Amino acid sequence: MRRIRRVSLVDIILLAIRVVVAIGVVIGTYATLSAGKLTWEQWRDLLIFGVAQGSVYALIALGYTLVYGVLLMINFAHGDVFMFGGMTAFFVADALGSSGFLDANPIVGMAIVLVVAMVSSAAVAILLERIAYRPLRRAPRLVPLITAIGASLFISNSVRGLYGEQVKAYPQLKILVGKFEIFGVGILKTHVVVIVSALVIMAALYWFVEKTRTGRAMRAISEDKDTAALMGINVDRTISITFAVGGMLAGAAGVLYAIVFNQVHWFMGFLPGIKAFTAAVLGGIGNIIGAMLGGLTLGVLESIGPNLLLSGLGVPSPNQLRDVVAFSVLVLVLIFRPYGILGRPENR
Amino acid sequence: MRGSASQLRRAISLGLITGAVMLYLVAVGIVLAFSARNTITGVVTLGRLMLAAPPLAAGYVVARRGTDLAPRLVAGLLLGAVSGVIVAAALLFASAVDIRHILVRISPPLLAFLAFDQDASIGALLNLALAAALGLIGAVAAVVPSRVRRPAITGVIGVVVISMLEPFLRPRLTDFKLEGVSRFLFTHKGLSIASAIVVFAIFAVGSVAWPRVRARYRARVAAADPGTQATIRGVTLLLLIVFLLALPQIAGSFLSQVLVFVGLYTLLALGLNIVVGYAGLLDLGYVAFYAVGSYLTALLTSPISSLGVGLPFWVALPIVILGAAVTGLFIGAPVLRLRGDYLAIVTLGFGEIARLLFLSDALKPWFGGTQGILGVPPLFGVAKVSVPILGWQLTGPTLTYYPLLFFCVIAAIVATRLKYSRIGRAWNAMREDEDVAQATGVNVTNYKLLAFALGASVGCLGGAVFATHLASVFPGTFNILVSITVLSIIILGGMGSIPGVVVGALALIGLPELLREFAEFKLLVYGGVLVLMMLLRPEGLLPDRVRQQELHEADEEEEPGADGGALTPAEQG
Amino acid sequence: MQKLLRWSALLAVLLLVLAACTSQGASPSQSAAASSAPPDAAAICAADAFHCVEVAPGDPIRIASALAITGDVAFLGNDSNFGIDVAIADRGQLLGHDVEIVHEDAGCGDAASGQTAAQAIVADTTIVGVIGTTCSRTAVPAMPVLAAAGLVMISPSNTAPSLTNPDKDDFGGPFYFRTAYNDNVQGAAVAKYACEELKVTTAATVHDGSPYAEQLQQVFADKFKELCNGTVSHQEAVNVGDTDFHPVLTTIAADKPQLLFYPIFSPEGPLLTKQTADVAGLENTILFGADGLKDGAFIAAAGQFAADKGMYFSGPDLNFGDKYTNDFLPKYYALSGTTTPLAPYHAHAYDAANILMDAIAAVAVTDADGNLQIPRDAIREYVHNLKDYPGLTGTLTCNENGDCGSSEVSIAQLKPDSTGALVYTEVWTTRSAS
Repeated sequence: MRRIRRVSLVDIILLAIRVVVAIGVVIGTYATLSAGKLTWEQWRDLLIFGVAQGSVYALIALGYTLVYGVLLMINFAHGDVFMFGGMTAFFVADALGSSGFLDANPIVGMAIVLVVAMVSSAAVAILLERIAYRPLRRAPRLVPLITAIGASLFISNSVRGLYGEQVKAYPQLKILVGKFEIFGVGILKTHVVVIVSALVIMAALYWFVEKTRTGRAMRAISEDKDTAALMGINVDRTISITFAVGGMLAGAAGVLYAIVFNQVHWFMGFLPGIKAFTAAVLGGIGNIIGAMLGGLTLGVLESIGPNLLLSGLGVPSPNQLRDVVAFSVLVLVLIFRPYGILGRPENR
Repeated sequence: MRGSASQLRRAISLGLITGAVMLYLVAVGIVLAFSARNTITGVVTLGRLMLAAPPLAAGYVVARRGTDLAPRLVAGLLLGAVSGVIVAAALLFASAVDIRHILVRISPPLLAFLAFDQDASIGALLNLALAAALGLIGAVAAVVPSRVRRPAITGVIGVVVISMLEPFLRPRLTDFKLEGVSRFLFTHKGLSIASAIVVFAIFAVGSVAWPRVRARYRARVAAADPGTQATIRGVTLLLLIVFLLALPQIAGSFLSQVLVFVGLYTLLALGLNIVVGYAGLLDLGYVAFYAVGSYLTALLTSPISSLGVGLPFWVALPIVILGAAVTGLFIGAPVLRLRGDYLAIVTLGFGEIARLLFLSDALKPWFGGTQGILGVPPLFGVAKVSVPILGWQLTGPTLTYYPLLFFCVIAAIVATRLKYSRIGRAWNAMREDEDVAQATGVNVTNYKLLAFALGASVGCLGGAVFATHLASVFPGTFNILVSITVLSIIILGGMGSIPGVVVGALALIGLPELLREFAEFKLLVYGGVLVLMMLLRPEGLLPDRVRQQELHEADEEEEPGADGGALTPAEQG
Repeated sequence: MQKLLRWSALLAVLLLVLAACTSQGASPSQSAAASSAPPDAAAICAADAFHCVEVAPGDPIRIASALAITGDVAFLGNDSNFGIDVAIADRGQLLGHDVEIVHEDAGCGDAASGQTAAQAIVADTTIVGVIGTTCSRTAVPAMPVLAAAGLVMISPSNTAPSLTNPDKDDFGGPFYFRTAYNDNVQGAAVAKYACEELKVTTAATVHDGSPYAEQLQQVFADKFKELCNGTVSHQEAVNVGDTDFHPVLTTIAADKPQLLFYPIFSPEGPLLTKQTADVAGLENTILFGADGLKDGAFIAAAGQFAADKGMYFSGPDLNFGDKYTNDFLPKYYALSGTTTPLAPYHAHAYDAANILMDAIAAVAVTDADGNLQIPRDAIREYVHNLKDYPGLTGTLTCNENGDCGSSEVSIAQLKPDSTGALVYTEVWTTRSAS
């Protein structure tokens, strides 16, 4: 008797939430579409913008998910590793840009910038692991999470102190100005670059984790650290490599972010970091394809959600509430699927 | 012989790290900022001390090992010299090449400071010599017996702390007609040489005498009969109460303001402690309850809010707490089935949702959007209260302090009672292993909801006090940093430990307020402290017994020595 | 001759002081202004509603700043602090004392930090006056605290109209002054320029959830409807930290407004500016930013695009003349280490600091022991009565509610200067229009 009543209290609240959301979504969408303020082309553009923004989230989320997949810890400082790569590479990009090298040899120039970003991000990630995370590997789960939050504050504020708090403008690449025509649809070149890179990097990471020796070692550690060590896997080294790879991904994401948005600053790791974290959880944290899917879902939701659901209801400034829409969807997804879209229950 | 060779190698590598740390401190700007504060006027500034700390500490560390005197001292000297070479080289480089467009803090004043206002090459030599000397001093500290080292270190710390407190001590001493003391202690933002010696001596002697006095006192209390012991406890409690009540009068208006924020965060941390510390549910969106409490209070009490009812605070309070508990249930219900990291991100999302809704144009007619709600009346409806017999004039922070203290005490008592009750044990079981708890008949769903509702109520109470103290609410206050700060307080103090919460709030809220001039570096230091704390003392400063045992269990599996050394001392207390 | 003048001035002062002593209501500040050595400092201090700050010989005169020096708008506070530092360095010594500035952090988003900064300042009884705050919101809870201690606060960058409107609940009170102009002035000027000069009839606005941007766009929208019978199709909002503004721009583009006014800051401002190019329907929309975008960061990130687009910027009339360009700016750059100003309020901060130091110089008296006595309420009165002060930002006169700023607004565009670098070039000012 008690048991039945207990379940129904929670279920009533959940049911109420579901009903309210469902009614809101239906009415909002209907009202928006029947008002017909936006054309089909504008909806299509919104979708593309969402996919591009989502790709940036996905790139960062890949690093989150990689570390989580191996260590089952949330590297809250990953967003700041991403920021550090973008900021450090700025000085190289700026020097190359002002000397004219970047416009003369855009491919080589960007490759140099990319390498600098990846190396510096990887260096920070490795240091972070060595100094802050390694001694805590056996501590309760909350401990490394707090460490990571502290490290996040420390890195971002160090960069602020070292490089200054001003927003820094990346040189714009002339070859990336304008749009590509793909199937008769104009898409910004920068957006094409970031979407394609995200897919390529995701595929490469998937291959790395699934097919290489190191990847196998990572998966073994993820299953059981101690057994993996007994099987002759060098746990410390593999975890360092995991962080290095995660850092390189973050550095690459930093440069791609700079290409799309043309500016970097010390605070830029925070919000994208949280969004990427959300994306990774949405897709099922620890799952590489899930991270990509989560990132894209989040990007599209942010782009289309407020316009589709809220503007029809006459809500003023719907775009101000884009994060409300995004986080609400996260909550709803997790109510129905507690381990994310592609995630599986933890084995603990 | 081989031992000393490896010690020298260690000295060199540690010296390199030390040099890098020194360069970091310089480049991040913190050294120059702190050089504005005199520790001993005309002799040494806080910035100079900060730069001296790494070689001193590293010299101590490197010389701690080994048996022979000479190699240990040489190691310290070598380490200092290596770090000095790095700083000197960097100084020469930065003087020759302008790298200010990358590292913005490497300004001419900084270089002049680093070179002791000399030519760069002379400055480089001075740095080298100074660092080597500091490394040696560190090594000497490691070599001398601890009965010499401990008083010396305590004395130095005393000098630094007293000089740091100068901006607060000086006005307070003046207010208490102790200008003579103030004149003797402080000359232009620092201690004089004479007063530094006196302060050093007092602290050094104190560090020797205090343990003996304490031990004798404890022995006598232990020897006394139970009746006397009870009396002693009663008197101690009474003295504590009197002290807490008189504190704002001793502290003055600014320190009372700091105390109000310490109290506010203590209250929040007590609430979050129920959710995280007791029930083991990681909530990163605790700020949502703080915001709900503030806004509900403002809506109900402010005569110019959208409701416009202008209820007195004490009438509104039950409604606020009820509203909070309902909010806790509504946030708690959807996330009940989530565990660990999923719970963390969802609660973080709720925190952001709350902030954005209060900020939004969409709900502006109710919550005022970005312009917030003004005109929240003070707690007792009047801005000033006179205490008849003592002649105190309570206003602003000195007035808010008392109800806040009352709420904190109530929350602490409730939390303590809960902890040792049936509910507390159920939470304990749930935190250790949810599935097992469920299997043994613990109603996990109800206990989780209860934790959320209780945590929410306490958080809202904090919000209510905050709104009245500030006389207004604005959405910008309620950002994610609040959640992180409250969580850090619990972690720093020790999860599940109530005295720990107070210590955590004092350290993380009180201390930064005392160093307000350097607020720029607050978050930097704060992040560093969190990391170091987790590495060196994860159970917190004043740990909860049970929690400490949990951490020890995890430790025993590992080989001793890795970080076990840091975990020991707290048990003695 | 000079001697005679001095003696007669002294005599006049003595008489005035005597008068002040007998009739307590009289103002001591006028009397003290004329000389530095009246013998009756004690009487002046006793008569002052908030008594005196005593500065012993050799001690510095201390003032405080309460600005946002941490957080995401730290550049605004640092910009103002550099302005104050230049003012103090220019002054050298004041009445034979050094001037020392205590930098407090009043933050921006969190009103509580404004209150705490005020408490910290009030607790230090050697502080004579305050320059602050950066953000209007933090001034609201700070003012009651400062006023209770008799400390004047002059803000270089508060623009919320209600702070100097005695009918509002967040009125700053008698101790509050500002050298910045108020949003009503800027919003009206932009609306006026939009309809009279640009001849537009439809507009949209975007704000970033900061009280400043929200209020400014609201004033603009109201004035635009009122002055020129225009239509405001959208009043949208974005969040600080957003990077993708295409969705909000798409919403706005549905009505193809002729003008888009977005008084937001970097880094969101440059991103939004450049992303207008990607959204169909905004090709012919005139872009209009405000002073939050008049900084080096914007030029570097979106300057060329904005110049090509002919984007407009409203802001304080920064044509401060030769002294500003040739004397002030080099000193500012030496401190900041940058080649462009961090934000546009440094000159206002310079003026605010100078007004405060002038007030101190005017009202301070030396007592029998050689200590400097600075009556607090007299400072307020001096600033309150300030007239035709030749500041860097213009000729300043304080009105009865605390508005001291020159109310001249300029509209600028980005144009290349002689070296080819883009600079904000004034195209219209309220001065030239009226």
